[in-house]
Amino acid sequence: MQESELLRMEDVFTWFPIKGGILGRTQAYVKAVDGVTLAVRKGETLGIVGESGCGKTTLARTVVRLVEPMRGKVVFGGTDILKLKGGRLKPFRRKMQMVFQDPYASLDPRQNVRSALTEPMHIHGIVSSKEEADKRAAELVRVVGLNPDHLSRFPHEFSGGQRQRIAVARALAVNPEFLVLDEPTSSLDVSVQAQILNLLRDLQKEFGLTYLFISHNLAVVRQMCSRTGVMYLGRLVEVGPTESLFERPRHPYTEALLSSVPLPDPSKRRLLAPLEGDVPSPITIPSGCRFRTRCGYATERCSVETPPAVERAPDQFAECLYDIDFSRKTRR
Amino acid sequence: MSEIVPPAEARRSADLRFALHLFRENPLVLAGLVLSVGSIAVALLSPFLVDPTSWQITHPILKNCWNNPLFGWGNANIQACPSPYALGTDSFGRNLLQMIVLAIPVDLQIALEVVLSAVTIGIVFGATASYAGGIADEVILRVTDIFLAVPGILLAIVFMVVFGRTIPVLTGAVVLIWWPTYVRLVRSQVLSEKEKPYVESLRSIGAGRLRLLFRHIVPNSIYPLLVQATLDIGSVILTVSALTFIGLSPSPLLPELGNLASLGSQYFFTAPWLIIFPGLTILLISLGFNLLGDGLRDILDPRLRR
Amino acid sequence: MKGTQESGQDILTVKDLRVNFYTFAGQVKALDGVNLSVKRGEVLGLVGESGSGKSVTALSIEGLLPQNAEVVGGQIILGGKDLLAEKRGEIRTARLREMAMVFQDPLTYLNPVLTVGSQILEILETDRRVFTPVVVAARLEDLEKAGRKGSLTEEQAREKGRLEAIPPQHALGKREFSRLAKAYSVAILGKVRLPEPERMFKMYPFELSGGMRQRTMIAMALVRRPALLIADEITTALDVTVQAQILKLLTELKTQIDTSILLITHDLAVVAEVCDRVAVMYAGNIVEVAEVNELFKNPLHPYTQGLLAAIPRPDAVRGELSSIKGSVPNLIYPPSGCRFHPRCPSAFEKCPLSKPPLVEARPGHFVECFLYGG
Repeated sequence: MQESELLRMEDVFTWFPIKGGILGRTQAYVKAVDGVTLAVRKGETLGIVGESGCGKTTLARTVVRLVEPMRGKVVFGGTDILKLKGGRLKPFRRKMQMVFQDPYASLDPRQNVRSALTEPMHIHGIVSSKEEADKRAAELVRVVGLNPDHLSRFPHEFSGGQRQRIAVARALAVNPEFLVLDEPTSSLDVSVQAQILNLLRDLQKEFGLTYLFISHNLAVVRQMCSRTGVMYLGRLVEVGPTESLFERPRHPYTEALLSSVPLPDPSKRRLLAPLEGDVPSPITIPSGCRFRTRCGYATERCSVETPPAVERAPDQFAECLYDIDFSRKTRR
Repeated sequence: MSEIVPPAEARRSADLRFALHLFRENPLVLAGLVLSVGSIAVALLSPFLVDPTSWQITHPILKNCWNNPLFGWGNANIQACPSPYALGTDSFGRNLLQMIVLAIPVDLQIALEVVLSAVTIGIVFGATASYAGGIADEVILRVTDIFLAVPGILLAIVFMVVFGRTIPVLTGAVVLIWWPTYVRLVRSQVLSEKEKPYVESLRSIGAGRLRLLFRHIVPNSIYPLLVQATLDIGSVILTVSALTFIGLSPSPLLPELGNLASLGSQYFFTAPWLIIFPGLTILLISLGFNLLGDGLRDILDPRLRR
Repeated sequence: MKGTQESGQDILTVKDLRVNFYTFAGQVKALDGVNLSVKRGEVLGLVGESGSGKSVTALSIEGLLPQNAEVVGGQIILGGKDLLAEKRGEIRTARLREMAMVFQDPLTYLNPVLTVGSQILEILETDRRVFTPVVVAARLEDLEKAGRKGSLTEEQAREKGRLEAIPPQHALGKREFSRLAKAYSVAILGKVRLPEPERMFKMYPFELSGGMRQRTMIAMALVRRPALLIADEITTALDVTVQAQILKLLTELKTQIDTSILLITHDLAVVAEVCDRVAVMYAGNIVEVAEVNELFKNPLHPYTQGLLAAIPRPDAVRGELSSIKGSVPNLIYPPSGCRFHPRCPSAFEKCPLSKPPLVEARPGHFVECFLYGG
């Protein structure tokens, strides 16, 4: 593992069994994460984009071990956290925190803000007294842009943006190094989203945090992430520096995604060339290249050979058998 | 940040207005509140209203007489008492009204004990079953199945026949009937809360199982338990009365509503008040708690969704 | 065919619409005098964030407001009739004939136990008299097309004659109506670019994907040939590639059918892609209306400006995203005067005093803001 890597996932497979029949035998699997190898470098914001069913949320939950993968390694700071049990896992839980999509649902409705913020501190024993915990809580709310008199209020008394701030404050309560953000602004209005994204950026600078940023919104990912990975049916079909991935994608799916996003600019109105068909189910994954059923450039080879990840540009990897220059080709 | 969060007073008055609206829409809920609170009040005040030892003293001469200036039965066979009694006397010559006032706390106390025990057992086993899962869950579920399969009253009767006819045994017998329902209720509540995002997020923070269960999941599951418990107080009183009515009471003198009714059952044509008034009391108290429980369900449930 | 330049009548005019909601927490002044109009043949985008009142506006037009809502003022003029003033029966007919609505979540709006086809037929069969002209017109079009390709058979010619002779208020006989309605429904399914429309007709909603269901909803809306289609956040719940399919469909339909569209969304990019004109809503008011290119190039209202500056774009990084301070007001206690003034960087003394009137600051570009007069 490289010096600058904070977290590394190696060949992670998270499959969910589907049981059926009288004896409840496993009949099939939902292959949510189907072989992901990914490294998150210290201090960066790595974005993961994809549509519904691509596995990005399961990937996030696997990283923090909310779900158990059936195979693979998740190495954090040199230790494979998948092998740890109970007590040994706890210190790692402290270093990795997660912010969820729905800020209302992710807070206990019966806990006021102060209690929600101080609980992680008590769980990990980083404070020695109630006063110290309360002091830290007051500091945390200030850091995320709220007032100390919000501490005694309950989640339902706040707006969506404020609740997300509380969730972020709670994630910061134990001084983590790594934050997994699962669609943190998807349920927020545009103007509030901007506030939260700016806040996340500032916090990253102030506390030296590393982010894994999951989103279906390509614009937000472009705004926030230095590197981006594109997921499709459980695999990373392309990974690379955000600028070059967006400007010159190397995988047909990335290209299709980018050309499907409408721009907030009527002068740049394009005849969107949308991808035909729907996302196949993660239960039966197409043979060979999993994207071939919707790919405008697929050939017969694609149904037989499984494409490995190939470095098509500096630090940019794509799982495609061909090196296609999308600016010149048109999709069939 | 210029945030306009509705002031706390505004929220409270919103809740108050909702409660008032509920009472207006559903006057029966108000009736339920009055009846249940009324019976609790009577129970608490009973040592001051009636001499607590008066149930042990019998007055054979005054047996089954009626003398209420406001109301008569129009039945020639009815004996008149020498002095006025609001509800006549019972077969031991005791003032029936006083007996009823003494009986209400007895029934309510038993009902409360039964419900609290059942809730506690429910929480302990229900939480264990759903949280531990696997074999523990299966075993607990099957045991509740067995208990639920047996008709409740029968179970209670057998229990009391075996273990004797004292009040603690009576309480225990009724708990036997009720505990499986609460175990299942708690289990299903915990199962659904367990999957909720806030539990997940606490798990990712590092909260342990016990903390999750008792500090977060159980408190959030309280509302349905509360509703069920309130409804059940009424039902328990009915069951206890049924059991004493068929004769399973420690003593015929015991001031307990079913017991009183039982004594009166033999004298229906000569002293109808003996069964009517205790019966009416049972009806009103259990109805009151039932209506209250319904109203609670309405108040607590949609509010969670608003 | 239907260009935006074709001016002329407004299909829908909403004048000074005020709607209140009565809740236990108080009276929510949801709509504070909404003015908007949808011209014939155009796609008007109605944009706003949560709490802006865009859905309430749509529900008011469609007559689907919940029980605790009350329209306290204004007019909704559709097909020449004020929907708020007419008697129930007349309103119902007007709405049935003139407009249709498509919602965000097709799964909850489709009956799971009926096939797609039977649900479309059900719409037509609600009122044979009202829809006879529609299905007859569709059949005549088909016959026309057949006639142009080759000549008509005797039977077809006879049918054509018969159908053309039908008087306006007449309702076709049940069997004939069903036959024509079915053919028409299948044709509509094809028009929304559902593959194999004949097969689709017999399928159940759960067999379809999200995108296909949404197309079915659009088909169900268009089957009535309404003058106005209200699309309320129809792509919000869809993946971006599926959304692109639907947006492309809408763009194509624009030129093919004679229906105006009121497209309600919170996503300015969707508006930029599909709409001819845009109305921006904030806290129960329309704050700005303009032709789409004009709005994006010269946003006048501070809220619109703030909104555009806050949107991240997939084609460029914008440094620090500017945001609008504060958040959407509680409409039980709305701010006085201009409802945006507490958050407005350009607010001055006049703003809290009264609601600014709608002024035409540039040709065809309307704003409700004291910065531009009023």
